[in-house]
Amino acid sequence: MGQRIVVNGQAKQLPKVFRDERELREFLDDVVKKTLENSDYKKQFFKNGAPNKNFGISVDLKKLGINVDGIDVVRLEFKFEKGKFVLKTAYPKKGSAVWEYRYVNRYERGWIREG
Amino acid sequence: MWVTLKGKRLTVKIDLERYINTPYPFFLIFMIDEHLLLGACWEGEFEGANADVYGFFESLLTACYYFLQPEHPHVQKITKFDRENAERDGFELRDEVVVYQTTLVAEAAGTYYFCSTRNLTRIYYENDFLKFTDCPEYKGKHKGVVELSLKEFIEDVLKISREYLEKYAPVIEKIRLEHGEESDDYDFLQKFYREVEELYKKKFGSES
Repeated sequence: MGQRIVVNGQAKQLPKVFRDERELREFLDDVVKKTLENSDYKKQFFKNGAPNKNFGISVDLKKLGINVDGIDVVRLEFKFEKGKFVLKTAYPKKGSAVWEYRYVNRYERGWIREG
Repeated sequence: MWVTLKGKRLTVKIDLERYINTPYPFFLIFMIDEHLLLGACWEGEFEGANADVYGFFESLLTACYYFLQPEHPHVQKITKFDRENAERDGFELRDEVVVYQTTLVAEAAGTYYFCSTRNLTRIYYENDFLKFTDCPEYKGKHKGVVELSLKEFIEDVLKISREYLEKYAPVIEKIRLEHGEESDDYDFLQKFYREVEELYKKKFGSES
């Protein structure tokens, strides 16, 4: 959402893909809904019929017919709890607007950008 | 404190001291021989990637479960779909009959395709966490493929999963509950372990 963050003492402007939290939420709802409607992705929730317990899937937005500039792949992690799949977390994994930083703490080297 | 689960070729290390309140609370390292599939290397030392330990072992067992039933329609459908995904991710698969993609339930750590032929296991991986390593021996080694015999792979997964379930699952569960998490379903994982073990015995029983 175009936040500014500080990396190694420098301010960075993250890419803006969504205008606000509501737009982001609508996007995520859409991704989850279409993933569940897609028979290929739905299979990844099960092993030969039995639900997976703790698992993650990588969803290709193109396959779901979702077009968002800068995001190509979204990762969803689920747990099967009390008879239901519960979405634990979701984040973009691939795309031109997807920046990943890792904090390398052991030697206080700061943040390193990936991808 | 790091604990180590070791098979002939697979090694898993888990740090029981650090806990981060996310869906990936533990630090975990996964190696096959010298290949570092999950985790990083900084200044000559390994560091774990954040992972859900239960999900990690469930993923390994699922790979075995699929490798042992290549003809099952579900496995064939998953294979067809994940083969396409592997190509999209830039992996050149070969003659594998089973292809299973997993995140290993680790945080943004990488991309993994566990594959098998009749007699071999091939794991195509891209370990994002290793991309910017400063360990010379791991430079450029974040993406690759590791091959071992199917039997060897399944035996190692069974061995380390059993050790995890018997020795470390109770400790890990205690830490999780102390942090207010809901309990994980270990009965299911035990049952699943036994199912994979049965399939393994059916296939390899006469040889071992």
